[in-house]
Amino acid sequence: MSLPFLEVAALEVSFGAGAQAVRAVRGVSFAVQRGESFGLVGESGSGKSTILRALVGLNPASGGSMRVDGVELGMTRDKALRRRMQMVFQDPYGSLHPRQTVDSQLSEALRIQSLADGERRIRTILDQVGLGPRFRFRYPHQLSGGQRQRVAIARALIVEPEILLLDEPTSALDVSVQAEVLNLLMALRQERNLTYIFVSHDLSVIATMCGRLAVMQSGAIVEELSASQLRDRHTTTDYARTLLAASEGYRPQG
Amino acid sequence: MSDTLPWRARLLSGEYASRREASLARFYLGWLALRRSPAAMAGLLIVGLLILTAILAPWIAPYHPDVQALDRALQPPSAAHWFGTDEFGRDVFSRIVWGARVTLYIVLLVAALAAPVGLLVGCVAGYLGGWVEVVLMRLTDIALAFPRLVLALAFTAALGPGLEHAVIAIALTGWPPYARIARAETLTLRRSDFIAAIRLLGGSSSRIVLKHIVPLCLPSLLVRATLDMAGVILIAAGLGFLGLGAQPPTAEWGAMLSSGRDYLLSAWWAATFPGLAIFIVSMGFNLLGDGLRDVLDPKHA
Amino acid sequence: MNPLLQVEDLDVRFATPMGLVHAVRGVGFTMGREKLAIVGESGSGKSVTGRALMGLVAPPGRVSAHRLDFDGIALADAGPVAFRRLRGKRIGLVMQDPKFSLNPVQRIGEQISETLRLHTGLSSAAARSRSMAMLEAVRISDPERVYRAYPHELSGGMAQRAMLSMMLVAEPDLLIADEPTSALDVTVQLEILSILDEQIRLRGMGLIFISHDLRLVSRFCDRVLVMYAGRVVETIAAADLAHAKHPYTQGLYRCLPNLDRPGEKLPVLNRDPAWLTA
Ligand SMILES: Nc1ncnc2c1ncn2[C@@H]1O[C@H](COP(=O)(O)OP(=O)(O)OP(=O)(O)O)[C@@H](O)[C@H]1O
Ligand SMILES: Nc1ncnc2c1ncn2[C@@H]1O[C@H](COP(=O)(O)OP(=O)(O)OP(=O)(O)O)[C@@H](O)[C@H]1O
Ligand SMILES: [Mg+2]
Ligand SMILES: [Mg+2]
Repeated sequence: MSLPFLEVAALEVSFGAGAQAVRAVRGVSFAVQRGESFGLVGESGSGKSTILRALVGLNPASGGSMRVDGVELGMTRDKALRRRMQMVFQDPYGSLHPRQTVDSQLSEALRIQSLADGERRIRTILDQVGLGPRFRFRYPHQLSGGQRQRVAIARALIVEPEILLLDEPTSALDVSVQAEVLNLLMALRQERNLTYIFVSHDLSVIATMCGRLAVMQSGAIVEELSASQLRDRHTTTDYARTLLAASEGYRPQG
Repeated sequence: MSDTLPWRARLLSGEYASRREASLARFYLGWLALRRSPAAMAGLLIVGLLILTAILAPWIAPYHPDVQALDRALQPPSAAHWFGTDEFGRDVFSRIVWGARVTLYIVLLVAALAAPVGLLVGCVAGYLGGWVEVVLMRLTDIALAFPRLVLALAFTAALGPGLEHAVIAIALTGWPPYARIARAETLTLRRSDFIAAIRLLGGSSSRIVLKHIVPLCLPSLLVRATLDMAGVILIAAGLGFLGLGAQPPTAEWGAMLSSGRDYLLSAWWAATFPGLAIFIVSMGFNLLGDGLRDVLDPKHA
Repeated sequence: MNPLLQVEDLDVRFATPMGLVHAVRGVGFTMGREKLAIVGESGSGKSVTGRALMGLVAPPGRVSAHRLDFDGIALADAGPVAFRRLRGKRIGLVMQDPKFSLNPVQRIGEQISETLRLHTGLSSAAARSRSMAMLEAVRISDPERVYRAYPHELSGGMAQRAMLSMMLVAEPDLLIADEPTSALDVTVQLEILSILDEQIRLRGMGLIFISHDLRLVSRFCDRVLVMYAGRVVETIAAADLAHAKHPYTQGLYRCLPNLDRPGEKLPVLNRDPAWLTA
């Protein structure tokens, strides 16, 4: 077996200190191969977002290690390392600068990374995420939720990362837009051989997008399984079983 | 008419062809919103008039503002001297017109000194947090604790009276409120995802503060600065009144008010017209500030 | 018993410089103490409808209604004062965007207690314990910590539940919940729904549940209004949602990803101009 492309080992993240400390992530380990799409599901507050934020260096890790392609990820990272891994946030309303046009947010990304040929890159990426040149000079408030999420995806992809971390990229979107965004993400991954870590609370979304997934509960991974195991309902832990049963839908008691 | 339509329609369509057009459209929409408020338009008119008067003073003023003609002292308003003359026979109207320059100078200088300092201190403190924030905000509190007029008095007493010293003193005591506003705004922004997105693209802290946070704090600061201008004019007038601001014979409204006061009973015009000018211009800034707040800062509306 | 809410011909327009946006066009429904869902694609006017029922449509927007009666109180032509008296106390609104609606620089607990004290005049100690109990009720495992936390210290789902508890403490007669569970995983989602259910059964609260999750709605709610471009295109019993007649509703239902059909391209909605007038 080849060396995993992305490797997280015994990761710990705590907030605060002393008796009040919150251990949001407790000894999480997983490995993802290049080009794979790895899902993270779990209850609300179980530390999914925190893991992604630790991976991109927005939260400090208090223990364990994270590696990409054999390179250890610390708190200080140079631009080249940052470029390899980008993130799409959960909330398309909060993740775009409210007073900048789509164009200036994309060109800012290029400027920070000192990438040449901006004009062509912007046009290409807007095309790829299915937003024509018509949207290029709009402000976020002139876009719908789904369009904003596409801009956020475009901003992450324009610097040509190898790994994309997606934090519930469709939970704020309605079903028809969700379908569009998921289709887009599937196509982009094939086209660019991207590696995804995909957080969602929706098992059917995960089953659509990912080959393998980990189930989290209060900061730890309680189970790892493949999409086909999920489909066959081959779960070993109680929590995963509850999750599966629950995603069949709500049934009022009595 | 018909040939003005295309560009208007284009700006309003929400679909722009270039960066320039997008920012132009933003200004245009703001302008349309401002135009809906009569109070704001009145304020804009007054401030515009002040600026025009200051620029065109040599052409508007019928007399030289400083040349004395003691034989015509304290004449009441007439066709020759619209606002009458003061105790040295100088034309009050001409002095008010030239005084607009001094007032504008003070206002612009204070705005150019105090607002950027406050903005930067507040944004840096708010964004970086930790000990930087503690130190900067303590400094702000200290500066805020000084009574404005007293500090200005002390300052001009030490350096000698003069317009520049008065302005510096006003600016020195003027920045802390801006720092506080900027910090409060920054605190609500620093955790947001769009700032995080720039950090993980590799943007440095200085880039984030200068290019992404400062522009978002600017509107509320601009509003506050405009509202403050009224106060600045009054303080400058107060210093002039106490003889610590502009020095004679410079035509400054506060100083004119002060010297006219001695003749209030016999020659009401010498003090009344400068007083009116101060009142109208500070009101103009206030109205404009209120209007800008509704346009730029909808959450306060 | 007279109905809790009666709406006839609700219209909301926004006069923008780009022209008139007709966001809600002649929406009407009557509801009792039941669970009514509003579904529809993004921009179809669900949130604006919810805000209009609260009298919360901001100035460029104009609301008109032939009839808007809440528990026998005519609100159609009433001024803002009439709404203010009901808002928060008798009608609650959970906004779509919890992180955006919570004050980022105030602690969660203070925000909840403040709401509570505003509407009930409880002492601060009593408000505190009630708030804590409410946080516990929405299945927040360590309410002590969350009470002291700032919004950015919460996960997406926790913020959503904090927002919900802020609305529930005032014990409203009608709760308008705009996508209240979109950031929650299914297990918690179900628990939240059973709390809402409990409130409806015990206190006879009415619930307007705005959502884009058709599967959830079909199982949880009693009736569903399907909105498209500001209009109600179909009103249907929730249980029949899977067999809806309108092609738009069918289309929305088909867009859902399926646990058992992974990896394939999802169908997307093809909009038919005829729906605008139907
Ligand atoms: N900055 C912070 N300070 C203190 N605690 C935090 C902070 N960020 C997250 N936490 C805590 O860490 C835990 C995990 O949060 P996280 O956002 O990772 O959850 P999540 O799995 O993404 O949940 P959700 O599905 O609701 O978004 C929560 O208990 C949260 O309160
Ligand atoms: N203040 C406003 N000015 C102009 N148009 C507005 C305003 N608020 C809402 N609209 C428009 O009204 C329409 C309905 O918006 P609404 O927020 O109700 O959609 P929604 O159904 O809640 O969608 P989503 O599922 O994305 O939340 C949209 O087309 C929107 O652009
Ligand atoms: Mg999360
Ligand atoms: Mg909405």
